[in-house]
Amino acid sequence: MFKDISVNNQQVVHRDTQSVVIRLSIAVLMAALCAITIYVLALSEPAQPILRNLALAQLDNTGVDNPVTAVLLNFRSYDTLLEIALLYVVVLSLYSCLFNPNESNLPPLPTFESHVIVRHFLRAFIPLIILIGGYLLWTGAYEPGGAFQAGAIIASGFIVVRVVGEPIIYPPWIDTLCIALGTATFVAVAIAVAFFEGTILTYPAGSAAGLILLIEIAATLSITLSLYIFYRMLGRL
Amino acid sequence: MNDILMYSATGFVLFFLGLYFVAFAPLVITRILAINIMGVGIFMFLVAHANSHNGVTDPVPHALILTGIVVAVAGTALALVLVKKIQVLSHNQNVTINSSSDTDQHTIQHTEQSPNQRTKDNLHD
Repeated sequence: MFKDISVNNQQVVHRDTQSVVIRLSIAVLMAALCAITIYVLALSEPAQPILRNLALAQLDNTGVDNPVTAVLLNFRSYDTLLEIALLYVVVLSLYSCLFNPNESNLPPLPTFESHVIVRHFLRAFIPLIILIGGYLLWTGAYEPGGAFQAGAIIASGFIVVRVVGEPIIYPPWIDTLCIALGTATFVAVAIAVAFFEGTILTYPAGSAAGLILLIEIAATLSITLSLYIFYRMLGRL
Repeated sequence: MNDILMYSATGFVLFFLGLYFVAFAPLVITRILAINIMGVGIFMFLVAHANSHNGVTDPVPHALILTGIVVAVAGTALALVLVKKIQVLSHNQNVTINSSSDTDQHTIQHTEQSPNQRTKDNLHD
């Protein structure tokens, strides 16, 4: 504790050397652990890719061509459901952390006038960013891409606009709607398919592609708004 | 195998570096960053092992990492907001956030206004 410093300098010096010794020994210990792990890894045989073979064998029945999207939204859609739900819960807890209960909306970030070239460049650029987001969302069925990548790109577009100082004005209910949309759609689909197939998140044959696209669109909106809200929250601190 | 080993080794080095700084970093924000670096180390390890010998990548670790990135982003945002909240609250009671009991110079500086004043400001714009 630092109150000691004015009282007894000798003691503090002693403590400092002690802590340096402790730190050094732990650093050496960690380096040794790291070296041992790498050494063991170098000697060990590579694991058999059992899950990979299972996933690739069933790829034709998933409704998508990209194996990663198939794992995310078909084989292990449970994980993705919980991931979207986690984003929802985090946004809610951020709101509860920062909110003045008397205030119904997030306070706006300050706006300022940036350079004219920046503003005009941005005006041309933002539609492109949204287009790239939409492309990534669509191409997720065939190649690397998907809801999270699309959401991250579009949210980055929003954040660039904010960094430049332009206001983004939309009615506050869009926040509320879009945050809940991803989780709500996912849960609705999960329960709806349970009526046909008996278990949740087992898509009926032939409907997988459409349902995955529906979930991905909702998740993209949700992720975009969640990431943008993270930025606004942290920028407003 | 050599490529895989190199990437996994880098991942482990990042993980242990992160672990060290989680334990000993003086600033709370450094600790949050260190946790992120630990996560990146694990992602690197997983990505390295998704790579296979005959050119077909394993989609399961890739999906795991995608989920992990989202969780890491959400966790980081929550952690930063909580740290800030603690700082604002403790400012009132003259308590400092100092994650390490040995050092003084790294204590988070309180340059913010008091929370009441801040809420007023927020209401005005």
